[in-house]
Amino acid sequence: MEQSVVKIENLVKRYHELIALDHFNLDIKEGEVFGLLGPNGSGKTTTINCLLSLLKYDKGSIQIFGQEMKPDSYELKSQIGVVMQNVAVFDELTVYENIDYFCGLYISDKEKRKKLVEQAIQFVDLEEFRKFYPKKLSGGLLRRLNIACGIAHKPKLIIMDEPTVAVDPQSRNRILEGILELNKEGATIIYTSHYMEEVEQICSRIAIMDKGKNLAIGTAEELKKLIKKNEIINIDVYGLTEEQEREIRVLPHICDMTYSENRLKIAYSGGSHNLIRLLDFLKSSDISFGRVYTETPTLNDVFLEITGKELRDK
Amino acid sequence: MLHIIYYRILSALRNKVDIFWTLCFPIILGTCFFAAFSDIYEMDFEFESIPVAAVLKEDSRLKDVLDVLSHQEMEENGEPMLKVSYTDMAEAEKMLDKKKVIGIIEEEEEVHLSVNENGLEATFLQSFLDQYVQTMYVIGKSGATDMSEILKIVENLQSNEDMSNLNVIQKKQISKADMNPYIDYYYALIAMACLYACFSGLTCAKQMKADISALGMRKCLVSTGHMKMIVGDMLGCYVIQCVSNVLLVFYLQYVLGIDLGNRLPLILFTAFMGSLIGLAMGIFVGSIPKLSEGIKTGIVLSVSMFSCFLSGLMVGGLRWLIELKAPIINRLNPAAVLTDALYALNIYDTYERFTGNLIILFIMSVILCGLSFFMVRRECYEQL
Repeated sequence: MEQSVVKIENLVKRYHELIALDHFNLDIKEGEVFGLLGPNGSGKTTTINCLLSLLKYDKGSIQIFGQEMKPDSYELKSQIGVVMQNVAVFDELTVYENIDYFCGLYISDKEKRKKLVEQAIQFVDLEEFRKFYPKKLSGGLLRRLNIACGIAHKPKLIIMDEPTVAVDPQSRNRILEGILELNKEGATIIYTSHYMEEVEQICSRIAIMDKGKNLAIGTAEELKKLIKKNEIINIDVYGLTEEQEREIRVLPHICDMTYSENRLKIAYSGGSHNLIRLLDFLKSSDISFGRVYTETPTLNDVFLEITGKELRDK
Repeated sequence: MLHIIYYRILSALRNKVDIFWTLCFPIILGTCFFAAFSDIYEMDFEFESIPVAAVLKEDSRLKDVLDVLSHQEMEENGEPMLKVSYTDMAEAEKMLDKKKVIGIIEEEEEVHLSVNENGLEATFLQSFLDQYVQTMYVIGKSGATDMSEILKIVENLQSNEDMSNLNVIQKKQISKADMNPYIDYYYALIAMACLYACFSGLTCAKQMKADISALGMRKCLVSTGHMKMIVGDMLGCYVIQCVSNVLLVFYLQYVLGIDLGNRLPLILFTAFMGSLIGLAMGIFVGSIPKLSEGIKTGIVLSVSMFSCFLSGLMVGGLRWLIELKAPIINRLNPAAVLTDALYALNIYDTYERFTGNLIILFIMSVILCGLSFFMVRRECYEQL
């Protein structure tokens, strides 16, 4: 059985009247890329801050590598790498110096540190910029430097709190690839984001959070199975009458249907050959149709169905 | 530890704003003082006896003192300090109108000085009378009537350095230093440069606080202990500050030619102690929990500037006034303690007062550093 790297039980954190974490539970196994997904204010960062013993909490227990995490658990901290949402580097130090400085706060051996810093620079693809000061770097490069400073000492557990906020697509892809590489090298990763595509792309397991609660947990596929609709068919249909709409609604497995601006959108809760059955009906009813495409449910649909609201602010 | 110190020094040296305030600003201010005071200072060296009219009571003790000052020659020019004309009030007023005298010393129940215009000589006369009045007050309080007792009290007062600072004659006799009357400004300037270390200290502390800066958050998560980080950062800043102090003192002494005295190593040592208290102040304020960055910066700025103001950086002689009215403020004000240490070092042969000042600074530094560490150690925040 895989060992628990992080175990959170019944965690409660209050900010005065507001309950930021409400009996939150989490069990992250070794080797996972674990995603904490939730809208802004759902409690992701609070969870991370409690986990790292930066924030006091009101109730519950947190264990990392089987040990209780405290502000002075320096031995535990040496095994953890953190990439926070805000870039935390010295403006007066170059890329190389910044990475060397933070690596040096974990690794005292100079030779070993030198190798690790070089590896970190290569890892985030900043070789050309090693003598640059942070102010000369673009937002994406700065984020990469931020990551390098957090992971240069080769930690076993890496916590990344929305590391791709305000990053260009090229840098975002590089960062996501890098996270998978780190995982392949043996690191367990906790990744928080409100970008469902990112989480779905890299995370082996995902917890969906809202209002400080863990609403659902599992792989992306497992989460999608939790909801009713598992297939959505979109068809451009011209001149559909109300009578015909009623006839379509009674077809098997349809859980939701909308028709507006000549576009018919049908959500199915299961079954197979739904598209063929629908097209047969349209042909037999002599209804003319155009473009047809299908969608599989997203994590946003999962979130929408569980909470009744969108995952991302529109 | 060396790793932390090295990078702290490197980042401090590259921070142009910090370097300006740490090094350039005190040098610029010193140059401004030099430009402003040098003419007056030169004039002081051509000091001549101050003509003054005295209208005294018959059994006046003040007359004895004035006699001494009008006969005792000054070392610089062999002239007596005062040229006293004993006369009546009408004649004295005529002399004052015709500018034959700088002022009239009138002794009734109290002693008054009347002058037609302000100036260095008028200021000197006022200082002299202030001290005379104070000395007589102490004698009166003691109830001494016998001349030997009075002499004993005067002797005690003169051995009391606080009082003898005001005694111009005594100062001339024991001083090894230049009697630049504006030297206090330069001492206050050195004190200010030292206290400016509080900004470096504040930066260090801010970078250790997860609720203030992203860097602070990252530093709270590393496996190096808080104590080691604070001490490393502090030492890095201290090195920069000490180098700045050396440069400032050398600039004043050798470039501007201000005679800071012949105890330069001890002056530097005092400045190093001053930097320690400056750093400790900054770290202490920066470590106070639940205060925003802006409030902390405001506190450090106000405390350092107000301390320097009270030590006489902006208003010469303010420190002496406080010494007379509320000496405890001077003991608690690090800028005043520093200024006084520098002053004592160059005025007195003994090290008693100098050492006392340094001990005060050291105790203050230890207390502030201890409290700072206590505040940040194992810190866990309510809110980030």
